[in-house]
Amino acid sequence: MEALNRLRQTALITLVIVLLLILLSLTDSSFRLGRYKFKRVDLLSDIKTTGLYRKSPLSGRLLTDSVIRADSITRAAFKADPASVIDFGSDSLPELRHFFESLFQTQQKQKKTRIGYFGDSMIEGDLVTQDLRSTLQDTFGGIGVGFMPVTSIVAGFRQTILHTFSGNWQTYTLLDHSGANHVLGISGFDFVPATVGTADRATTGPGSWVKYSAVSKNRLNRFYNVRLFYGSAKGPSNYVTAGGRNFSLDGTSAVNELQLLKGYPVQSVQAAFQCQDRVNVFGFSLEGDSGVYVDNFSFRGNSGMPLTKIPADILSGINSRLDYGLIILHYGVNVVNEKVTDFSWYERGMTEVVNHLKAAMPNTSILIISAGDKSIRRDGEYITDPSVPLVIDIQKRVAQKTDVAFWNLYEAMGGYNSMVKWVQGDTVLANKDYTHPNFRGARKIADLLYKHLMTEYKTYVRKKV
Amino acid sequence: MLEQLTYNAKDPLLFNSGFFLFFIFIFFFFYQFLYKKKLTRVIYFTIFSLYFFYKACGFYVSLIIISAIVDFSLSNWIYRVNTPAKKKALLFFSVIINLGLLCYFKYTDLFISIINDAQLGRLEPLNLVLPIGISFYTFENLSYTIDVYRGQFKPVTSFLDYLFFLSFFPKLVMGPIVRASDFIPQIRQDILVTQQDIGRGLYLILGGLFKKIVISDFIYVNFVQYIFDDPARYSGIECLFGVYGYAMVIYCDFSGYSDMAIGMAQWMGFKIPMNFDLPYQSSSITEFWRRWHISLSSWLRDYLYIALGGNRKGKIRLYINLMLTMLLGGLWHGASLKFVFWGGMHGVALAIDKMIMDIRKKFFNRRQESEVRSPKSNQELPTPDFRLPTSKLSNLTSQISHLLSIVFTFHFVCFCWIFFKANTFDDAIIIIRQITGNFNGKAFIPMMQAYTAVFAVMGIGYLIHFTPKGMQLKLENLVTDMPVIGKVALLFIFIWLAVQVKQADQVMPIYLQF
Repeated sequence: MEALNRLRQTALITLVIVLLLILLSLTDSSFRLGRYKFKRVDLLSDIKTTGLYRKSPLSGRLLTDSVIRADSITRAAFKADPASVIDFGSDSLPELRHFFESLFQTQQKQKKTRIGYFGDSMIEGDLVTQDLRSTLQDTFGGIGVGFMPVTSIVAGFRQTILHTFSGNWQTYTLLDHSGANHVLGISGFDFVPATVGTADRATTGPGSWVKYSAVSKNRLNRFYNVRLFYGSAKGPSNYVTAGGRNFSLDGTSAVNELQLLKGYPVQSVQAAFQCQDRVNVFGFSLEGDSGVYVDNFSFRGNSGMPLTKIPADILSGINSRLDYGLIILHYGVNVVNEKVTDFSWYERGMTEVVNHLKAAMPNTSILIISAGDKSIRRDGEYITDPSVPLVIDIQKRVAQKTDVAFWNLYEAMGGYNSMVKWVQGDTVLANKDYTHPNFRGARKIADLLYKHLMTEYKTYVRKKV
Repeated sequence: MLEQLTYNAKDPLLFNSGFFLFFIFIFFFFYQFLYKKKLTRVIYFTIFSLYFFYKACGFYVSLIIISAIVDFSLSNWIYRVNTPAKKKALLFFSVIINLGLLCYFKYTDLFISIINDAQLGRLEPLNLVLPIGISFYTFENLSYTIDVYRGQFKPVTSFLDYLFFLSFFPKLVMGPIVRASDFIPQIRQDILVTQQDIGRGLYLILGGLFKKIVISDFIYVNFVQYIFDDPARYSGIECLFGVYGYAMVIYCDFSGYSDMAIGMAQWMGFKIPMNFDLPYQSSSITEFWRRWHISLSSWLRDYLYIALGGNRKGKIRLYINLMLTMLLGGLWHGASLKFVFWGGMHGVALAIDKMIMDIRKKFFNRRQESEVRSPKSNQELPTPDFRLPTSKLSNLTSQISHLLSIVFTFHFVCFCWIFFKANTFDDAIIIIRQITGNFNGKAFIPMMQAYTAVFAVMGIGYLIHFTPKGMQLKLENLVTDMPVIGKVALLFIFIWLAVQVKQADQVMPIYLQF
């Protein structure tokens, strides 16, 4: 029986394994096979107490060269808090003057203020914008969510409105390259309702519909005004039915408006389209008679650069009806890539975007919000993607070159490795992809933005008065 | 160095950490010299186990010592007293202490939150850290004391033996739940580790390592957790594959850890029964529970279901007992009502399954009876030539129906996992809504492109899982028959592979918090 006992083999096997692994730990055993890199096996790293990565914060650089105005550099250097909003306009003509003036007038109950918030998946489902809107409306008034697209992949996710639509809409986006027969609206989308044989004015026909219902939350529980925006249409053969009334879609401008409901509160609205021709529908606006409106223009995976594809006449057309005080551009995470060190192409692309927007909306302020922190996993540890600060530098540079305002979200989040804290903290502020803030994190971002914008606004008002 | 040897809450000791390799090596190294001396062996084992426990959960190690003292004394007392009333009172006392400790650490905050939600009061949650393994060793204590009470098992006379059984480190953190009646007799037996034991042990360790680190951790960290973290952001097809992924994650994580425990125990000369038996191959939910976490389901059957009366008190009571067992079994998995809900769904499914089985049995019996009653018709059965094609056909249909049953059972289990895993009940509903109403099949190709490696690994996981048992046995024999050098090489390759895949930011085994 003793001869059968192989217990000693267990000791032998583990001994040889440990010896082999120690040996392997003492050498650099990493190697490449094709495009895949096999990591070094370091058994001792578990025993050693020092971490593999030294955590040195990456410094935000000041950008200087001939295309950047000198006072812009002092302006950036002047701010003691790297998380504050920097206005790269000049002293006599600060960039945010349009926005602040509009806000001031809103406070005096003279006009509405409209903010167009462009962003990527960070703001999908009304994240960030819902909180920014809510705090602004608390202070300055306003009822409703503002602009709404017709279809949305995150309709079910959005908490600020109930949004349903028929399945027969054709949706074109910024990233569809196939588009001679459609025109993109301001949100980067174009929605085309199904065409019908005869426009019989019946709501139950084979046409397309969309429905918005209010939710039982403060300032979101009713709509006062419902406006529809659409492209040029041929004439009386195209109708939309809403609230029991028929409206013909026969505008001939680049952007046309139909006021479907006006001045009395409703809990929900359904718009049914009976169109014999192709009509480009851009979206709806749900709003009250005064206050501040923040439009969520989210587009997942967008770097920001394709915004130049939105035609200038569409931008100016919609602006003539909605009168934007501020356009926010919140992008960057989709270009972050640890393998890239030269982002000059992004600088060129975004500069063009800002100039395109400026040309179409000359009396609108522009604010660039930088990418937030985003982590990558390096040898098992989560660290800030090394290209995040590079992208942010580029974004700041674009703002400096084009004299617009800039807000460093990365610094506001807490700078280097803040995403790790957001994901792993006691209050979880971001998702495990170490990229997307969750609803709590989004609220924090909105609160920070509000705080920093209001600091600037107060200075503006003080100077004015 | 000292820092390494003391408990660190951020880095508890698990089988898949580098430290454990040194730990197990030192254990085996000295074990070979002293395994023949019984008392020394018991002391040696217990010291290693308690140290392992300390590294895994700090000074909660004292809890296991205290509960060992209490249950050792009470069980001997129960054995000695001779009136049933006294026995019952002592058993009651033991159950109260064991469940009391478990409830205190595990369920206090749940009760507080229920009280707060029902607006019956405003209590601050305690935020206790759950002592690792408490769910497992509490159940081991209970089964031991109940066995003694039922007269099925004579209590151990040596306290050291009992502490050894309770703290035996391979099964300490994540089970299996070992029965004292299976384990304690092995303590004083001569240790014999045969070629078969080495081979089977290695096979289990390799498989466990692969399942836990290469499959489970990899697809969890790189895909599944994203989906469950924020399901509304993902389309239905991603959510669906997130659920399929999670089914693989929880199976590989839990069974991988169990397998490593069983394999290591086998190398030490101890036999622990299998805990998982390819559960997703089950063709009914009843079968699933015979093959999933066997040590828990058999425990629940023997000490809860049967204690409630089992099937001896009529049909209605049977269903009630089944339901209660599964609801409490659900609660065992975690202090949240969604686990109770999960258990409830399984309870309902088991009850329906039982009903169907009863109806089938009745139908079958009646047919048999009628066939028995008319022997003449038996002789008039078709000739073999005629029978052959029909039997082939019925064979095929039964195969198809068997396959469909497997697919259906698997999907039911997956459906339940949604509630098990989702952060909140609302999140679970979101996942289901995304899958049913927002499927977006177009996303399939981009999803595969974005997560190629993840889906390759997931595919391997399912392929291995659905490999017939016979083939797996052949593979095991192949490992057993290898020379020692081959075994070393194999283990080395697997560890190297695991290191490649492993995240130094350790992924906690899912059952650890239970």
